[in-house]
Amino acid sequence: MSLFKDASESTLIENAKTDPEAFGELYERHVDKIYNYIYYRVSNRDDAEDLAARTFFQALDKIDSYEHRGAPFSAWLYRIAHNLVANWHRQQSRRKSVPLENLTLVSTRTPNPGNAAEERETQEELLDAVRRLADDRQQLLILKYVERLPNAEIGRLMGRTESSIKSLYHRTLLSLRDDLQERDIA
Amino acid sequence: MKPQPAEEALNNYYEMLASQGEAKAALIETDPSHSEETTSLFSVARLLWETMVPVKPSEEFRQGLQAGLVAEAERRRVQRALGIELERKASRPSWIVPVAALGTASLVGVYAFWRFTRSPAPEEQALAA
Repeated sequence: MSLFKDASESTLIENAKTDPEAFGELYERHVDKIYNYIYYRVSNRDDAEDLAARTFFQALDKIDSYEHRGAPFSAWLYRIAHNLVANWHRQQSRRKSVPLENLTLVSTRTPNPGNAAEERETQEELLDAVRRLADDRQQLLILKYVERLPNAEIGRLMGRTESSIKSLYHRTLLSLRDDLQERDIA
Repeated sequence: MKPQPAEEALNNYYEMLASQGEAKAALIETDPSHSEETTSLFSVARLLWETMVPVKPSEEFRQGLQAGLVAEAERRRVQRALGIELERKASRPSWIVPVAALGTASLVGVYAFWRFTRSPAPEEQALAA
């Protein structure tokens, strides 16, 4: 068992600057959420794995200069991931052909063979619409629906107040609905 | 019943989805006190709920990356420790040599000053005479 299993986040961060095992524990605590964030931003497993690996190697590079000031460590990791994803999108758009392997969608509903294909298509359209949203709106939806975080926690991660997260959520759903309606999906 | 502002209604709807599931949340969708506009947003929220589910990276990837990171952190730790040691060794002559030289020079200087400025002892004066 890791020595740092029960360590507080600030203790872990300080130790991770010099102790590889502490860094390994930090990774263990955050890898799933960072992977999820990247996965929903890039839509395929290979690139999600590559970018998640780069995120943590960059974190290792920079952890010496990281100062814990109360904001969650994951906010820092999300920022690194966000920048890497933004670069990835820039490179993809330069390459013109975007090899998007569709997400393997897992519905929370019991599958009905009759409309499974239609449902899958709707979900893919929805995810395309999510990816057309501004970065902060995509991040909000990932934190809310994938990470299932409460508004207050999302606010801490995104550097906003809880009430501004509520309004951003409202505006996000409005633009998502309009986009879907334009495409005759919702 | 006074309708809730859309922001509040949407958040309540999400809370209901998260805590009670889709069946309970459906009751909110059919509540006539909500405007058509708000109800259309409930549908989008439900679609998001059904679609944006957590995914897990493969265990092979997770463990491989962790091993790679820990090995890299260890390599850096060793390099840092060696670097400090080498720096310590490398820096030794750079300050020891000048200090030693200055120290020696000043000792020689003091002796020479003493040797040539002191007045001769009475026996030496007698011998000179």
